Amino acid sequence: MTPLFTLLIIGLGLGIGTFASMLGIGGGLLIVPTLTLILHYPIKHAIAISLIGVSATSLMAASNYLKAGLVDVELGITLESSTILGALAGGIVSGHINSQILYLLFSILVLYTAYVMWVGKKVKEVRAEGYQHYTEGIGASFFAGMASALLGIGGGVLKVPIMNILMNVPVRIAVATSSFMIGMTAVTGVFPYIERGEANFLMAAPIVIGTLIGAFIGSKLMRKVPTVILRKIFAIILLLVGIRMFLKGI
Amino acid sequence: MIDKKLAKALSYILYASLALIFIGVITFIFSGKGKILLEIGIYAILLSPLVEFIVMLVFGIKENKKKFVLISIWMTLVFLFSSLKFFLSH
Repeated sequence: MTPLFTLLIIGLGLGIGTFASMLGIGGGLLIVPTLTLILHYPIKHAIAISLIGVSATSLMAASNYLKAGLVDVELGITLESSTILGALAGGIVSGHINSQILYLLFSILVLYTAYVMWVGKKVKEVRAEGYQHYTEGIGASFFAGMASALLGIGGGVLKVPIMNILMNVPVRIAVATSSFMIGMTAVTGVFPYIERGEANFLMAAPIVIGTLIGAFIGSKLMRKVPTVILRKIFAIILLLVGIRMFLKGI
Repeated sequence: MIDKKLAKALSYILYASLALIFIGVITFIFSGKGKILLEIGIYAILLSPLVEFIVMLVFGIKENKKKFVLISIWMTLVFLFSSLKFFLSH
């Protein structure tokens, strides 16, 4: 890896962090396609780097949300008790499945996110006090953890609906609690990749730097740019990315 | 109370790891060295859940909250199972 290439990766991370932060999505959804489609990196290596990047951004988000008192720590650790197991399972399973399947699974996730971006997020207004369906939430969280480790994403796209729609958790609390959980999930999921020699720290470091600076810039720009238009444009980009990843998978 | 403690712990890890990674990357760009620094920075990020589990465990014991104690022990075990080979090889 040359110094110039390192600068290029920081630049890519900066763009990813800015966009992801402005759109309120995790960086993993953008890191994996960028590394595989633009830099022609093997998907499992890209997933490992993405998980490290996601862990770092989650540290920042979780720390801010915790300070603001928005995280329900007890709910977070209850759900994380199964999510972490799912992440471990996902990390191990990823070593035994074909890269083509990972491309296909990732393309489904990207296309689903493109759809959500286009139509807008489905948010449940929670009025009644008290959470519901704890058992179902814990069960679903296992699969969210597995998806996170298998695809290199934070999993907020799954965790927030589980908490908000299934468990009746107010969306602000769900987003904050999900951010608190993401770091633990991503780190647990990345170790099997490291053991298989699929995590390149030299590549992950500039991504971490770029995405964190980008996330900061994105949070400042968010108030100045019309996010509705941005979401529509981004939905189209995600649609194209999803199709390309699907084609790589078949 | 637990949220403030966790926030503090996460902030420290974030700043320490970022500083190491940043210095490592800059050194690497200018001199081709610094790989060890950025690796230590990434290890710090990878160890962050363990710090969270310890904070939660201590909180659970101090405040007599069984749920916190049990879940933090469970998560520590899963985490160690996932990372054991990695730590043994280092």
